[in-house]
Amino acid sequence: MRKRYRRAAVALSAVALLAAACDSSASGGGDSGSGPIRIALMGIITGPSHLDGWDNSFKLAVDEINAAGGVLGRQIEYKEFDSGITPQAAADATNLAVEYQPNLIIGYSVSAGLKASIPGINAAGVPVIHNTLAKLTSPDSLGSQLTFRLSPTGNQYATASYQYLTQKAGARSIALVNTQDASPAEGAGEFQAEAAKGGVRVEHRAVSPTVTDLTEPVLAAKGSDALFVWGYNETDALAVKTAAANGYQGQYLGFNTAAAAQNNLIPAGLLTDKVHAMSFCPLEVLDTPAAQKYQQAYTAKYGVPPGNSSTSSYYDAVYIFKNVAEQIKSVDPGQIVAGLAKVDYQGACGEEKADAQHNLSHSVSILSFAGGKQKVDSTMNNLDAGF
Amino acid sequence: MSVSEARATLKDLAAGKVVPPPAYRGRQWLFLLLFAVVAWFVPEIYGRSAYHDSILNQILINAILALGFYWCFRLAGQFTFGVFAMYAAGAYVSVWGANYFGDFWLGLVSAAVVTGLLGALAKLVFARLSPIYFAIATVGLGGLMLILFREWVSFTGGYNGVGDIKIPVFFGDKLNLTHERYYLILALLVLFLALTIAVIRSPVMRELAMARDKGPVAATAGLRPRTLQLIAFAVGTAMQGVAGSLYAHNSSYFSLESFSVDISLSVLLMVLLGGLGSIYGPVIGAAIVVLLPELLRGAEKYSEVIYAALVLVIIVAFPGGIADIRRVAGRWVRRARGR
Amino acid sequence: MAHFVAIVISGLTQGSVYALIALGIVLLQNATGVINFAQGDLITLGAYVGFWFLVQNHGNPVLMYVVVILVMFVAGVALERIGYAPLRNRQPLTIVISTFALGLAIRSALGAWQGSDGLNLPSPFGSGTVSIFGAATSWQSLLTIGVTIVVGVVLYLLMQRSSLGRQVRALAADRETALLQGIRVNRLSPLIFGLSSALAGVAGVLIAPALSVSPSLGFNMLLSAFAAVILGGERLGGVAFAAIFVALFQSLATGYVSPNLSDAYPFIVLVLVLAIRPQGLVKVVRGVRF
Repeated sequence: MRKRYRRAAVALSAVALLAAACDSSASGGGDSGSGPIRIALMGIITGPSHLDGWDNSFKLAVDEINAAGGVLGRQIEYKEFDSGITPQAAADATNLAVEYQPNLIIGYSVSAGLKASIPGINAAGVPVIHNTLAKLTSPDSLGSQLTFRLSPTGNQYATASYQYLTQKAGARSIALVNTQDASPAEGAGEFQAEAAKGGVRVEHRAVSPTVTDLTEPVLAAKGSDALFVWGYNETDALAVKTAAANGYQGQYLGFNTAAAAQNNLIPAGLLTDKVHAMSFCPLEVLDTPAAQKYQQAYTAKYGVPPGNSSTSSYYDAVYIFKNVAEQIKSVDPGQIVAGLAKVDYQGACGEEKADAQHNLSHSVSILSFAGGKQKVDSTMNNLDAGF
Repeated sequence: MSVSEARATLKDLAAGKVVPPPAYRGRQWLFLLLFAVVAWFVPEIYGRSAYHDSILNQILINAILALGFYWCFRLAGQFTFGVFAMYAAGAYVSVWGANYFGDFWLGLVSAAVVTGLLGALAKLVFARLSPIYFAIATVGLGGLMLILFREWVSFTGGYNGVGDIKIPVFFGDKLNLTHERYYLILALLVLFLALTIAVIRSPVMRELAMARDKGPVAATAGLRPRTLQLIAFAVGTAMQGVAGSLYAHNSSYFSLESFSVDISLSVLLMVLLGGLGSIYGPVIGAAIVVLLPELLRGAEKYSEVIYAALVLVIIVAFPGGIADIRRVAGRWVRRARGR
Repeated sequence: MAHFVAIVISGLTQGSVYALIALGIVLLQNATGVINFAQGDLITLGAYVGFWFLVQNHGNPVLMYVVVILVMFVAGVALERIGYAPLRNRQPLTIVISTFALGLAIRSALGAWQGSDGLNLPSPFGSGTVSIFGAATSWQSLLTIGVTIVVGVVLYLLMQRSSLGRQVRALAADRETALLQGIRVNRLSPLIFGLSSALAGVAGVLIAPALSVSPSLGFNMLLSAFAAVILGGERLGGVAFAAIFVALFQSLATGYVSPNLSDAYPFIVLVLVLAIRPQGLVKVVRGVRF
């Protein structure tokens, strides 16, 4: 009995050490010119922030491209890495990803995570296409020219929402509720700055990300023409329900209302014509030919229609890389980066064109729910990225 | 002490042998030296890459953090849940201090001083609370501290975090590489372990143990348990602050998102899994808690369930933690021999 | 006036949920000395069971409550068998950590079972509201408050009038003597675990329609519930009122003092009370258990 005990402990530690030691990468090397193209996908795989099917659009693009012959005749391989929600976890995941020697890194939904990962990225010299919102992840702030932002910036979301509420919805006073998290807080700050310039009164509330009661903010909103909620799916759902329960009559705009509605978090009866949702890449309701092609392909592959997801744009990310690589006929990182800096691509999400700060997206859509179904209400183009 | 151990001790005493008290057995200094030497060479065995270097440093930093908790819990006798707040405070104060004084070491010292004082203050204010209430009070204080950090943007940078961090310097050498900082952190860990051993082998430990186990009675014995416990608690929180400082200066960037109450729960796990009976318990526990999720990366969404299951198994199979393995193994030996 | 009423009612609703959670924690703590860190995850489990029955199996809303109570009772007994019985003689700390690990296991198992996206558990009343003194109140809120009152009364009767209640109160008053008197703790534990778990399950299905059912639903409410447990002095009656107090304080302070610090209020209440009155708000003469 005792031998089993001691042996087990020793064996466990030995295995752990060995497994870890075997992980040591061969240094040097990189892309050898042939063999598969490797993409490292960074996302939240475990924990409460994990969303199911977050990588579906990415995998769809990879399968399509591989079926059509790959990039420069080479098939795409990929590996997913759990970037978690803390900066340290993201840095660890990046260090692992870099050992995989990818030609491209896609992902990062948390700005702080990307910022903490920059040393590893810079050391490896791998181009990165990411989805974060904050000013923190502009090339200047990061100290790296390797990163390219595919999602709109917080500033662009703020401008789009402000313009929509004041112009299309005619609001003269707005109640603003954001969760106390990096991107919502920054976006809310920018929204308030715009409102101050435009002379629009803003009633501001900051709530916890795990808030369970929004009665007070909703009551405070009753005197305003519009209520803008910037948080998570659950926050939006709670806000809509609380607003309806308290007889709120104004316009409602939520950052995640579309996703919340998609997941049935909001009772269909509450999705009146006064409820709107922000979206960057509403591939599931856009009626451009590219979007429809995406919807059909997605449904064919996964058996369910695509949901509203912040990671839908990964589909375009893969295609952008393919385009740039085939234009310059190489996957050399330096040249890819140069190519990405000049990219002007009509993706499923719309026009993706790089500006001086490596922001590729310049339009935001506002969705409405006519008769309970989502549709695009308006799209704001050529939004200034702000940084 | 178990019955068989007591029997063995009595037998030795009857035979005229000198039997030192448990605290003086075991050649602790020698073992510490051995530990230091082995730990020195671990980076070479484990493999050299940015990923491995970072993991090793995390293990050591968490070991210091857990050791700080060990001081608060085992030496000062107070269970504290505020570890995460001391860690955060240590990080922010150290970065500020290093920039203000222009020197990394002064930043580290200021972090230790501030967190030590905060711990002493907390212990003083909540002195009359029962242990479980004290623990919950520390949760409250810790939560408030994080909220303070969130609102005090000029000091902490808010969500933009802190990026302008001084790199540790050792006798003029800037430790730019993660690998180089490993040795510095290891040196500090060994220093703290040495301090712990010194205290455990001193008469102070006797008084602390009595204060911890028999609080009111200790006062009647002419001791000053409150003062000793206060100092021990402050040293524990100072150690946690140093861990936070090392975390900060080992990273290129950190922000509010780096800190949450999960850290306290992890430290608790470390100490329990590693074992409360040995000063190496925190170290072993830190290694387990940091390495296990990394090893489970392949299991993707099942990794959390497996992690929870493994924790349960370890708790049930190793009541005293992994550090207790010698005693457990010894007991099985005696049983096998039929004593 | 309507504003004030709305805030008070939302405070009462939240307080009712906290009270259910706190009652479950205290019941268990009184009978076994264990603080169950998995209580929050049991709430989540209850909400998921309700979702599974009502939405996925098109069950009857009233029957859902019955199903949830039964399933959660069994889950509580299972929890006792796995996480408590093998560790009965260990230090309290070990037991606490094992409940915490079990909670994590439940949370991740739920995520693996139903996915980690939020789900919706519809209220049997839909989104209907009724006007009370001008404040729109959802029927679900009233249901929550009502069910909590009923549960409170049932628990009171159980504790005061039944043999089980007598045994639990005896254990809470003086554990050693109670054991000497022949109270069979080993038989009592699964029962109490089951009861406590059923309470959590009811809390889950009551609060779920307002929020979204996700794996971390219950965990987020634990802190305020613990504040109630402490303030209430670990007595059943005390914690119920303390829970209402904490929630009302939070509601009123958010509404009239400072809205942006709303997540700080439970902490503030906790710290202030503990600093000023270490034995909690409800005066009780009892020994230190831990």
